[in-house]
Amino acid sequence: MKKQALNVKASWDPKIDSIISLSKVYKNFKELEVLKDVDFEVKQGEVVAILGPSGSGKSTLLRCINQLETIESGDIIYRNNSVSNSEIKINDLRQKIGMVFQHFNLFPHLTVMKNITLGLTYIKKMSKEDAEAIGEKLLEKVGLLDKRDAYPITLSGGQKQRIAIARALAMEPDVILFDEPTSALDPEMVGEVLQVIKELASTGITMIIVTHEIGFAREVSTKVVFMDAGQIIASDIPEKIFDESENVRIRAFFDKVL
Amino acid sequence: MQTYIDMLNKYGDLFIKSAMTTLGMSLLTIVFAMIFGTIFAFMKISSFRILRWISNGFVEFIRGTPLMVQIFLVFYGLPAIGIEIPSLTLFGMDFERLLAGVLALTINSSAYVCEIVRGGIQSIEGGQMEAARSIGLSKSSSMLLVIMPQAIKNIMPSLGNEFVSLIKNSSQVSVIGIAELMYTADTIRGISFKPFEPLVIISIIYFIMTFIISLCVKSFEKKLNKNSVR
Repeated sequence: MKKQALNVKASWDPKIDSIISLSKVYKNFKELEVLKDVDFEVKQGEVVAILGPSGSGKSTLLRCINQLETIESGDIIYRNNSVSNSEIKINDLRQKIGMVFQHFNLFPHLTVMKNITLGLTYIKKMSKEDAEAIGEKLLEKVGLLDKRDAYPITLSGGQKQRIAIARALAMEPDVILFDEPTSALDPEMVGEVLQVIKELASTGITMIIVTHEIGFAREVSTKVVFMDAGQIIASDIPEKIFDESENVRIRAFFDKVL
Repeated sequence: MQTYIDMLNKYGDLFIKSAMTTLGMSLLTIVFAMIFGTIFAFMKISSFRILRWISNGFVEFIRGTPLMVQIFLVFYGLPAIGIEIPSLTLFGMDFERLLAGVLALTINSSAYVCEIVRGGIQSIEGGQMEAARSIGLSKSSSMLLVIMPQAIKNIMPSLGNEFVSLIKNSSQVSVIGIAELMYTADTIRGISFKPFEPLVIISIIYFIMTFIISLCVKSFEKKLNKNSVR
């Protein structure tokens, strides 16, 4: 099957259309229904926090967006391109949608700089100098320029995650997905990573963050989505979810967590 | 003690020549086994069911039958299915026998190398492939740039051990008349009527070969673990 190229020039108005939208998405894994009839929209520039109990499908939802997971039915649309069937060149899509993982997943056999510039030199065919110039800017942004020639094994968790964020930024994506970016960090390192994400949010890049950091979500997000048992049960501005929600399950969750 | 010295003086050349044969065959075999073993390994993890099926069948059969049987199968089997091997002499040996010996050893070793390579690749955690794919690298580029460089660190020591096994297993091609180390010990026993001494000598020679390789593997492992790993 000849794969279609991603049509990034498809008529799409960022003010009206969503950059990513999921419609009636259903996913099951054998008998377990992981996502049930999920409708989800993100407009350009939004910072969306996805909250909810474990097993609610938050990470799965995120991973469906860049097709690390496949869906049984429904549609996933990126800039008016339907991407849920695999007729789109998936590698092109993934250049536009970056991801930061809970367990960092840095490449241990490459230096920090090489981790960041791998995509630039190999996929975008940049020269080493151009790529490293971008790499240095990003390392400065996350405060780790002095680690450019270090190997990931020498870094702390917080440093690794900041490098992972730089690596995702290097490909200049439209959207960055964060899959519980601080859940695997020791408490004293959570702050430095959240700070980087906060600064990123203020630059206007679209972000979707699955997190358990409630305070952070309240501070940074423009929209909060609450999931439970595979469904989105609330989607609204932070205040409405955190302070004014009358939903029993949501109240129970926050009572337990806060 | 005197018998050994006499034997080495008299047949020393023979021992050396056959040791070279053993080494030569083993080297040739390991090179081809690495190529074919890697191909089979990728077939085994392929998304095409027919490739997995072929690779699985091959590995199970080879690992489930004795090497000596495989050697005879190749030696008698090739002419039986009509493959005419040119009768010429290579390194003073019948080419047909040499080819059959190396071929049988290669087929056998490939199955084990396949498992070594496959195990090495699958021991790399899934997050690595996910991270590589999510910056937009294709499956094959991810393999080339991210997975294989890490897998090789696990694969190389096991390959070294396979090479050691190979040198020992090569003794079995003596049954089709290839003049390697084992065959030579037999020959010298026949000429000298001394069964024990030749065996002791080739044991020492085999041991020297495998020990040197083991040392190389150990030092290579140390060098690899210096830099990274997790």
